[in-house]
Amino acid sequence: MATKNMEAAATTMDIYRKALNFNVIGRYDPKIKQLLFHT
Amino acid sequence: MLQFIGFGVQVELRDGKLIQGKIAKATSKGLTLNDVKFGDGGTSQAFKVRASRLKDLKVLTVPPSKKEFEAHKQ
Amino acid sequence: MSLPLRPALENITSVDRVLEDLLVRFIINCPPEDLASVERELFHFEEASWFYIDFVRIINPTLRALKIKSFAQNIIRLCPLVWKWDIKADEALQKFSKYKRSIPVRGAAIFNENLSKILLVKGTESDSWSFPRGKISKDEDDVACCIREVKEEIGFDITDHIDENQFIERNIQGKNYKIFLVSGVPENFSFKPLVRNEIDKIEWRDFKKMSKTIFKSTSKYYLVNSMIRPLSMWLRRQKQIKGDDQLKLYAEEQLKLLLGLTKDEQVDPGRDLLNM
Ligand SMILES: [Mg+2]
Repeated sequence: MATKNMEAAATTMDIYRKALNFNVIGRYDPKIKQLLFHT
Repeated sequence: MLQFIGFGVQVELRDGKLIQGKIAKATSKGLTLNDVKFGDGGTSQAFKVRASRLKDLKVLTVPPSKKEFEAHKQ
Repeated sequence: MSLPLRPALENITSVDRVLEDLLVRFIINCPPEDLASVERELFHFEEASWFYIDFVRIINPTLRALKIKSFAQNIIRLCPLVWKWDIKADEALQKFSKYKRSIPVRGAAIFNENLSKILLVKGTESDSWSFPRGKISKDEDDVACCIREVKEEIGFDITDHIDENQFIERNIQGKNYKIFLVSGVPENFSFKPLVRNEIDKIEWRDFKKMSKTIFKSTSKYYLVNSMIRPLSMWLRRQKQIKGDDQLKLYAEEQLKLLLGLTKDEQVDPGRDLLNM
């Protein structure tokens, strides 16, 4: 089917997920934020 | 007297008026209240009242700093 | 997820920031099979919405209440990628609630006056300790069911202790559980089941002790373990309120003394005697 679309959507979701995780977890512990930043 | 600062109170005057506010100063002579609300709906930043004019007093709220203290005590 | 709650969520005034937090905790980090169907995803939405209600509202009551429908809509607004289904969210939610058609169960988490102990029961057929509880009867509302079942199982009437707004709700394996939070029950009451063939044992448990050992393999609990965190939070809040009430009374006493508002008899009960 529209595999290319699905793949694109999955990648976008993945990027969004990482970004959101980074932001939210960073609120709890600034140190984690640094750690995530370097990963 | 420092221990009373920040408490929210409602005082009843001898003439029947009800006034709410936060304690800024409390001595045996009287009270100074901030963020005052009068029975008739009027408000004021500050209000002083002599002890001799007071008929009754009720504590309504506890200052936020005291709340935090309780919370962190676990 | 076990991120510590208090620092980040306590002072948040923006619902969106909270929702982002919940997205991270409950939805976007799920393994793909957990979100493989509409129902499965809605179970996670539901959990997230209960987390919102249980934790966030207790810590920060200024945040507005969100029922599951608006909760879901807001989540999807924030993160549209999360909802990949063709069906609309509120339609899906309707189907979802129909799916939860098995008879709801109501019960009570009963605490003593000190807020240190909880009363649990053990049935005649199972070795697990849990809240006194039971199924809703015909034409009965949640509170009435709770009061009736608790009375049947431990012989105590919690009508004067129950608050219809204080409860913890969970869906477990298709059954809807609502456990009302009740305190101030006297420890030395002689608890007896009115239905003898259902309840085998009734016991007070030290709450702190229990929460420490509840996830060890030797202990056998049902429902209590899945609700232990909101229970702890509620207890802490109740103690705080109790503390505040005591503080208010104390401050009032002291202020009255300071300002000379106390009546003579109260100040000096022996005065009359001395005056004679
Ligand atoms: Mg029963």
